Amino acid sequence: MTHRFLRAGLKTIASVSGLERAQGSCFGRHLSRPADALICRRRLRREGFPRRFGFAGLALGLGLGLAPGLAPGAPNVAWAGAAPAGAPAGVQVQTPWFRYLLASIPAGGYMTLENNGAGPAVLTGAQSPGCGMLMMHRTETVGGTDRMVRVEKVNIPAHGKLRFAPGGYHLMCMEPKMHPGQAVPVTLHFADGSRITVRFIVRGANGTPEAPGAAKD
Amino acid sequence: MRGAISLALAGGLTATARPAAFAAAAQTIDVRGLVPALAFAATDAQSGKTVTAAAFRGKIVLLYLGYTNCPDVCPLTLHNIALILHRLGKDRADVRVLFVTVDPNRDSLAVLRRYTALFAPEIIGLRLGPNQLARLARRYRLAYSVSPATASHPYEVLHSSAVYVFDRTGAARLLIPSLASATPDLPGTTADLERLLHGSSAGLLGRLTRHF
Ligand SMILES: [Cu+2]
Repeated sequence: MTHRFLRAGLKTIASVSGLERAQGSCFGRHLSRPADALICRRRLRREGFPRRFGFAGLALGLGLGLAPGLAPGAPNVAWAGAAPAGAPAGVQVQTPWFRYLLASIPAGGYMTLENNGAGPAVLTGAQSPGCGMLMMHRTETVGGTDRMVRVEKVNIPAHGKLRFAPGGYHLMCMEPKMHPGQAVPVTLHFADGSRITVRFIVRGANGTPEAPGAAKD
Repeated sequence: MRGAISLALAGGLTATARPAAFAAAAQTIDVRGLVPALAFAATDAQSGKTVTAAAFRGKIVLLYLGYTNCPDVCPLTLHNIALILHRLGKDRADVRVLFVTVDPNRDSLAVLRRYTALFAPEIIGLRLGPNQLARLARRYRLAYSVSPATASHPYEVLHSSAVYVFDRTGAARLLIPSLASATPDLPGTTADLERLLHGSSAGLLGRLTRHF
């Protein structure tokens, strides 16, 4: 009964929006084989965001409406975190913080990079004594699904800003050795060989620097 | 049932037309009558025992798929849910949030329990076996995939952003496409839940009283 219910809905929508192939390869399957997952992802990308969809297409299509918080002009709490020694001319780091959850779970690192220089600055990596391995990631939202992808370098345009913010770019602190309330040093490496060491404020699960009225941990 | 669905779709039921019927939040979709009722059997991370949808009758239920090794988008979603619960005040006692792991091989019950407790006491970690998980995801058209690490690729997990909302009877009512946003519509989503909690527009009477 339930299956008929779903199939009836699915079929109608698939014929309208052409989602059938994407549905067939992506939905309701445990895509544990990497090959399947890859096919699914490619299809999701190709099918894109359907203009017209019903319930069966919702999960597939709607997430694209909400892009990660990378827009310029986002809340920008001034925090003089940048140590100028060795930094690329004009690059400043604002509001650096980690969201620490559990010792066994990676902590996400966030900040706003501001490049006041005349040329682009390219962030190529980061390291911290509080992290074990520290990687750069970006959450990719495609067809209503989220996943994290590794990023090798991040470009901060001249006279521009780039945000590492929840739902978008983040540092992956793989083995966090830290506690909320601490400040953990992180060294950012740039393509020109320069580096900045910044102290990241450690916040708990519900801690964010942007929401002063928000629930505190 | 089949007839009802076809009719609804043929009648031009689109995501843009539908929210006006119920949802206050800009992105929320009214899925009443389109999505099956809440049904599952899972292991409750808190008690270690099997729990079914029947245990949540009488509560407003939010359903979200994620995994604990998710330091970015899952915490963002759960944090925003915690903010919504905070806005609900006393009413939060009638809300339960089901955080279903799509990565049961790595997520032990203990980790799942500790992870959900970080955000709010109303958030309940659930673990299903691979087949049951696949069935649940299919039932609600939620996507997920787990790709174990290979020589060239790291361990990778993909999951739907969506959060479903079920009413006190277990009927599916709302679909929030994503709360993994830096600018979620917290007042609108809270208002949607409040309306479900107080049932003001649950019936014809509610709809009429809003118009007069
Ligand atoms: Cu990541």
